[in-house]
Amino acid sequence: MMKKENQFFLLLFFIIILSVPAYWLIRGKPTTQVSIVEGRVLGLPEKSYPTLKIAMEYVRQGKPELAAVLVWDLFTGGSLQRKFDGAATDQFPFRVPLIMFSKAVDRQIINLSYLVTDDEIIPADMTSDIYIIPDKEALIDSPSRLKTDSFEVIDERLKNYQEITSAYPDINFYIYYLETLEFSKFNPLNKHFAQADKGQSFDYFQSNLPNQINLGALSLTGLDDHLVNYYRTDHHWNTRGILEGYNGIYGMLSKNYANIPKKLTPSAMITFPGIEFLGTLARKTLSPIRGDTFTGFEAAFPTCVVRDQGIEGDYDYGDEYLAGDYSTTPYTSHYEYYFGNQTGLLEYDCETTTNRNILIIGDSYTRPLVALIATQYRHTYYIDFRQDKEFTLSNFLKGHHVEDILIAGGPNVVFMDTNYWMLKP
Amino acid sequence: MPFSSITFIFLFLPISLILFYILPYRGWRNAVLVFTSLVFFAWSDPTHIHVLFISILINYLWGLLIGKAKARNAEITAKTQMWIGVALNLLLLGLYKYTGFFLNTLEAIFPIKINYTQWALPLGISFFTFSGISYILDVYNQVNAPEKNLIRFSSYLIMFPKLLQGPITRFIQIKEELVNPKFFPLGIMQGARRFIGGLAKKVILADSLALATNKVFSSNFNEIGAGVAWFGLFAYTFQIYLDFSGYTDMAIGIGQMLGFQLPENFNFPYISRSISEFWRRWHITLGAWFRTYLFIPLEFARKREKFLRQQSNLLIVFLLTGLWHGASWNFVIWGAYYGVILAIEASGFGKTLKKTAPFFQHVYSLILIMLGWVFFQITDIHEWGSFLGALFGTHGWRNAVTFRSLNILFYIPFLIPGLLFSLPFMHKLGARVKEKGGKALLVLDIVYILLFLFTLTFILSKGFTTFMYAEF
Repeated sequence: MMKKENQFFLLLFFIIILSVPAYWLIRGKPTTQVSIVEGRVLGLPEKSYPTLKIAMEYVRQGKPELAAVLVWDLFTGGSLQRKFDGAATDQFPFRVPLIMFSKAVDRQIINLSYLVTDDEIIPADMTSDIYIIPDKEALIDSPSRLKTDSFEVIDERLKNYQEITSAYPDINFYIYYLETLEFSKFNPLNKHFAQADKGQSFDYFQSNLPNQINLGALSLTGLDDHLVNYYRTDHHWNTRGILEGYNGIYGMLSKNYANIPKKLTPSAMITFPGIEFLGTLARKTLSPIRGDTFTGFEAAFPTCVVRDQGIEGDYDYGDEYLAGDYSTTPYTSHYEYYFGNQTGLLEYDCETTTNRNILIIGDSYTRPLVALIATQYRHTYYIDFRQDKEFTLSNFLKGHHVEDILIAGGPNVVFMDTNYWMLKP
Repeated sequence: MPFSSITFIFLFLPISLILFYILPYRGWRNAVLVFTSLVFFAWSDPTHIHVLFISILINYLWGLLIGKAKARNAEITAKTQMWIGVALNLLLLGLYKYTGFFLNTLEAIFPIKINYTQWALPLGISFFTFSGISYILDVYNQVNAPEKNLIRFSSYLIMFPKLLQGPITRFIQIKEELVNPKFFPLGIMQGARRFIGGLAKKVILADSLALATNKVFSSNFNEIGAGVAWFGLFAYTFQIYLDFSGYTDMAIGIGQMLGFQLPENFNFPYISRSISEFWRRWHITLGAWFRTYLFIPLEFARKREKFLRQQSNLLIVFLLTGLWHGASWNFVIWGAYYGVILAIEASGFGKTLKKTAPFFQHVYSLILIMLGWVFFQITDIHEWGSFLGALFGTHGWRNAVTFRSLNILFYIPFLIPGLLFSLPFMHKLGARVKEKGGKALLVLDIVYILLFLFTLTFILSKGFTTFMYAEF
C-alpha cells in the first residue's frame, strides 16, 4: 500500500512532467518568437512543416511514393528530430528564468572555487571563456592563444596581400587594425596563459607587411584604454572608439589623397536615455552586470543614397534612435540596430565634392565606420566576406571603379583568418 | 532519444506511461512497449531500425528451433541450432562493429589494401545482441522455455529502458512481468525517485565533469603538470561512473514505472578492495554475462588443463570484454590489462592482498582502476606515455597548461559530490530515511522534487551530452 506521503511525491512528479505538455496544448500553436536575451529566433516544431506540406501536396496529386520518400528522408536524415528536440527545449515554459537561475548557481560555484585564489578576475560563467572584472564591472574575453600554425596563417595572408597589391598597382591599399583585448599584451589574464598572443601575431604581421600597403592601428595602451574605447558588456567598440578609429583612418587616407573632403565632426554626442546596453558578453553569460550607456552622435552628413545589394533603403535604425524610437528591453542588440546590418554589398552614393571611390572590407566593427568614411568619397562600397564568400576583386572591379581599398577590423579580418577573410584576386 | 532530453522527459515518458497503463487488457501492454520502443529507437537512429527487426527475428526463430529440438530430445540438432543462433548474433555485431577494425588489422599485418567503408554503428547493438545471445543459450540450457509470443519476445529484447545501454537482462529475469504485467503504484513511485536520482547524477555531475575532462584530455599532454593530470583522471573516474550508473538508475527507474524489475548494474565499484571485486561491482550484468556464457563454459571445456587454466581463461574473457567496449586497440589493451591483473590475483596475490590493511587494499584497487581509465579514455596509444609521464610528475606539478588556462578551476568542487555519490554513504542515508518513513520521507521526497527541478535548469541552461556507453 502507498502511504499518504508517497502519494504526495508521485502526484507532484506527474504534475511536473504532465504540466509541460499540458502547457503546450493549452497555449496552442506558438508563433515565431525572438529570444532577445539570446539574440536568436526560438525553434518551433513546425519548422519542418514546409517539407511536410510538400509531401501532403504530393499525396493530393496522387503521388504518395514521392511523399513517402520526402518524409522518409526528413526522418532518416534526423533533421525532423533535431528540430523537434530543439523546439521542445526552446518552448519550455519559464525557460529563461530557469536558465538565469542555473547561471546564478554556476556563479556561486565559481565564486566558491576562486575563494582560495587571489584572482581578481574570475570566469563570468561556466560555459563561455568570458571573465568578469568585478571592480570595473566589465566582461572581457580570455586571451587568444597562439597556435603552432598561427604564423603560417599570417604568412598566407601576407602572401595574399603581396599578390593583390602586385596585381592592382594603381589602387591604394590601406589596412586599419583594431587591437582587441584578446590579442593584446594588456589582457590582464595573459599571465595565466603560456600561449597567450600578447600582440605577437600583429607584431609579426606588421614587420612582414609589403611596403605598398599603408598600415594604421587603434592600438591599446592598457586595460583602461580598452574600457574607454570598448563596451564593458559587449565585444564591440563604442562610439568613442569608433570616432577614434575614424580619425586614425582619415589621417591614413589623407596621406595619398590630395584635397580629401573635410573630416566629419560630430556636432553633438547623444546618450540614449533608458537604454542599459547589455551586449554579447553579458548575453552569453547572463551576468548580473550594470549595462553600458549607449551613445550615438549627430553630425552634418552629406546627402547619400544607400543601397544594400542594389536595393535603396535604410539598413540601420540610427535615425529612429535619434528620434527616440528604440527599445529599452534588456539585452536588445542596440549595436546592431543603431549601426545597422546589411545583407550584402553596401553602397553609399554621396553628394560630396569628390569623384573618388573606395571599397571597404570588414566586419561588424567596421560597419559603423562606413557612413563616416563615405563623407570623403563619391561612392563607398562595403563588403563583409561572411555574407559573400564568392566575392572576387576582379569581378567587383569589372563593375565598379575604386581608387582606394581599405581593410579594417580585428585580427581575423586583417591577418588571422584564411577561411573568410582572404581577398580573392 | 536520450533519457535526459526534454522530449523524452516531458513527452515520450508520460505518453508511454499513459498508453501503457490506460489499456483495458493487460496483454496489450507488451504491444505498447514494443511500439514505443521502436519509436524511441527510430527517433535517434532511424536508418538502423531494420537491425532491430533482424535481431528480433533471429533470436525468436532460433529460440523456437532450439526449443523444438530439445522437446524431441534431438540434442545434436539443438546444439547445432544454438551455435547457428549465436553465430548469427555475432555476425550481426561483427558486421557493424568489427569489420573495419578487422580489415585495418589485416592491412597492418599484410601488404594489402582493402577498400572498405565502415558502416555506422547501430545504437545499442552490443547490448541487444548480448541479450539475444543470452536468450539463445538460456533456451538451449533450458533455463527458460522458448517464448512463443512474438510480441512478448520483442518486448523483452527491445524494451526502451534497457535497449541502448542495458542493463543486459536475461529473459528469465523479467519473464514473470512480461507474462503477467501488473500495475504497482509503489513501483511507479520508486521508479520515479530512481529516475530523478539518475538524471541528477548524469546531468549535474557527470556532464559537468565531462566539460572538464574533455578539456584536460584534449590538451597536449606534454604541457600539463601532475596536478591537472590527476585532476583530469579523478574527474574522469567519477564521470564515467556517474554517467553510466546514472543511465542505469534511469533505466531501472523507468523499468519500475512500467512494472519491470531490471537487474542492478553497479554496486559502488570504487570501494572495491581488489580488482576481482571491482568487476563484481562494475557493469555487473556484462560481467555476469561473460562469467555465465564464456568463463564457466571455458573452465568446463578446459578442466583437464592444469597449467594456468583459470588465468588464461580470465585473460581470454577480459580481452573479449575489452573488445566488446569498442573496436580499437586501446580497448583490447584495456581488457588485457584487467585480464593480467585478475590472473595475478587468481594466482595467489588475491589471498595475500586480503591479509593487508583494508586501506592498502582500497588504494591498490583505486590506483589500478584509475590507471585502467587512462587506457580506456585515450584512444591514441601513442599518447599514453606522455599522459602517464604527466601523472607521475615528469612534466612537473605545474606546466604551461594549467587549471586557469583550461578554465576548469571551478569544476574542482564537483569532485566532492562526485565522491559522495560514488560511495554508499548517500545510498545508505536514503535507505534509512525510506525505512523510517513519516516526515523524514516527506522531506526526502521534497528534496527529490527540488532536485528534479534543479536538474531541469541544468538541462535548459547547458543542454546535455550523450551517454558515454551509448557509443559501445
